[in-house]
Amino acid sequence: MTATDLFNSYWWLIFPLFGMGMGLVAMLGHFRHRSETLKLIKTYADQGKEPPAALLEALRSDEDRVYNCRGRRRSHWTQIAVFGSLAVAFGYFGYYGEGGSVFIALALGFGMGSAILLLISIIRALTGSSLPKE
Amino acid sequence: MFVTLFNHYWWLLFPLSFAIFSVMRAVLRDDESRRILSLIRSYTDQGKEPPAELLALLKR
Repeated sequence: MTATDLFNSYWWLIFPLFGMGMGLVAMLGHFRHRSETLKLIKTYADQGKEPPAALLEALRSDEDRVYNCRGRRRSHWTQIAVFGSLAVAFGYFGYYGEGGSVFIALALGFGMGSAILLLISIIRALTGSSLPKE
Repeated sequence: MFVTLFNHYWWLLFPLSFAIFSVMRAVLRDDESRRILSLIRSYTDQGKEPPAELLALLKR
């Protein structure tokens, strides 16, 4: 198999790898931002001054995005749409797809996971419970 | 050799990158906790009460 064949088979990997790269850059950026904020607060503390409340608030409000990957809070219906389409797509691929047993197993696994998350989203939307913070 | 290996195990890219991301996040989080502790120490060294928001950051 030549490099061209390899690219022909796995060109689509460019997109998830690019997404991972972007995620990594975003994560490092957030941590650097928080680190700089902490340095700034330390400067105030070393001078014996009280840091501005906005700085401390910036650390608190950024926390969810950094640690729980939930910067953009999604609504129930968005979740239902996302997981519904994932479940259908992976289910279809797992059932009819031709790409070797490993690929079908992966598609079925992700399809099942998406279906379960879809069910949870529907239950949450019907019962009106909010998204968990932790 | 590489091509054959990649053909069989390309899917390992996903769990491996997830593992690497998790380790990196844990390391960065640890570094941040140390910075917060050092910040709190600088308050206590001056005999001052550290801001409640800083203490709350340690509870996550």
